[in-house]
Amino acid sequence: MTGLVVEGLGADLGGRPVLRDVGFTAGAGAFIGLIGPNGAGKTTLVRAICQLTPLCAGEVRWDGRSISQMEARARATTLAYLPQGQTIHWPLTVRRLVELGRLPRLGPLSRMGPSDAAAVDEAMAAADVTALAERETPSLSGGERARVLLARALAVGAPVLLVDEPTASLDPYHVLEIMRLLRRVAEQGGLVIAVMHELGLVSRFCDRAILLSGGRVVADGTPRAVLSPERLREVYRIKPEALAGLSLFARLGGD
Amino acid sequence: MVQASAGALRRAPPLTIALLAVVVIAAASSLMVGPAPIRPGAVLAALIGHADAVTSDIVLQIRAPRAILAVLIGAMLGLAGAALQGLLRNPLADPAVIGTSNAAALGAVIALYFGVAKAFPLALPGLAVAGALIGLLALLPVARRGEGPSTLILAGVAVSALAGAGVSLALNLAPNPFAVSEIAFWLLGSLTDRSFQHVILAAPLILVGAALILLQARALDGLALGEDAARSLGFDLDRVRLMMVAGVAIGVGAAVAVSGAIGFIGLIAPHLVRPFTDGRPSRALMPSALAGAALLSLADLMVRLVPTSTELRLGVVTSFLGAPVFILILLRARRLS
Repeated sequence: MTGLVVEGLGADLGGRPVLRDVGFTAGAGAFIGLIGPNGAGKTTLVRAICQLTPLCAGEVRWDGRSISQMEARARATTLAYLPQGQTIHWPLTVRRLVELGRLPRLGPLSRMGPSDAAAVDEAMAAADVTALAERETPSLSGGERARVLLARALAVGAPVLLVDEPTASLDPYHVLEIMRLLRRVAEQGGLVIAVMHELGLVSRFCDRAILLSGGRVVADGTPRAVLSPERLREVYRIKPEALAGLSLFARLGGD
Repeated sequence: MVQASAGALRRAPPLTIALLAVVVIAAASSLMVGPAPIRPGAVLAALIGHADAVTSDIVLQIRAPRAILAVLIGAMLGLAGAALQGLLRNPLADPAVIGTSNAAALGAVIALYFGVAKAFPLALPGLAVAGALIGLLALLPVARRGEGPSTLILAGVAVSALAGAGVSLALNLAPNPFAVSEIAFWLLGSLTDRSFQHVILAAPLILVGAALILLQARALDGLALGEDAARSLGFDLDRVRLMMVAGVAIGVGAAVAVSGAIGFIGLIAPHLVRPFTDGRPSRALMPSALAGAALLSLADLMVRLVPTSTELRLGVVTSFLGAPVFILILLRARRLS
């Protein structure tokens, strides 16, 4: 089986079961929104796929190879992960920061080669941060920061990109910008899995939604099918009309 | 304006050359300065074996080991500071501030004054390294919880105070009647009367410690994005932490075993060089080592040049330099967070 296969995944956090028997498959070129109420296990699932959280059951494979059996560097060049938040601990220029994405491809003593520089250029162009190359990270705005960190994840050049709440704390303009960018990554053949809270954005930009609740997949399909009124009531404990009122993008999502 | 000028300076080689020049000048001056000043020509003659016996003894047996130790120990402390700051993502980390140096001093004191080092000469650096390791390991759980820079520093202050008290207690209990007068040596540090035996004792361990740190340099860059991002970039952080902590413990333990605990070099050196690097933590390591060597060599010159009845302790000079820097960094970190 080519693509990403997640099979019977289980994980505990502090003795509490957080994921139970989670499974799905996904191929290249898809943009999947991973949704669910707070505490559903979305972040844990993404971290478990990247092997950042110990699994108590199940397996993750990419193109038939088990992710957990892979050597650390092979894994790092297969799955690019953009964690939640925008922490950058030291002031760096944007270009230096994006270059960090090439670390898994460098030996302990080797330097960046022309192919690394080309990948960095490409990632910066894709995330529209080329003009910021020489800026220092503390001087960036929230929207710029989000794009720069995304460029870092793209610079890895991995076939799978996992992002955790990429639009958190951004204004509507930058939210749309990031979503378009992720959409484009998928259209160019990447597999993008994004943890999302904004359901309107999922229905507008993603071609598939996976709904988690209580650590299990409760629905998996097109966003329209997954986000049915009954399910919203049941899983999110809200009425669909309330969602339209809450969300700036819900109506935009209808087109 | 400030950013533009910092950008123009943003190239490491000139920095390396400048720092190397300072180290060489300070080390050379160290051979000339002391109770009996020796002119450069005479120092040169002594170095190539053409000086009289007294001059030659002063330069080669007394001042050369002191100059070499200042460079080695300063470099190790600077490197350890840069490594700890990168690893713990804390601009205030320094082997002395977080108690590693005092913990190493406690190990050394136990080895020296309770006869262990007499029975096994390697017990001196061995117990100093063990002390440093215990001091560091005690802090790791606090560091990993990531509760902001001040929590780690407070825990480090506790380790430092406890180990410092342990040094005083051990020296009070020591059977040797002169032991108590040595408290200042172990807690403030000094390079007075060090011989080539001390160089032989410390140098190999310092080189091993430095190598362990430098081999993990890349992981520090990944850690600039946080632990999850670093791990997703393929770094085994447990291994990185182990190697870094072992490197710092071995290097700083060996340094403290021959010089006592010298404060603040590891704090100041990285902050001095960082504005002239491109910001990546790995690129601050070597310049920090050179800056540490330069700082300690200059401080050791100063204790000999300041006219006091008994020679100043090194830790006094480095604390006068370091404490204001510490406060500045603290104020800046407050403003940013």
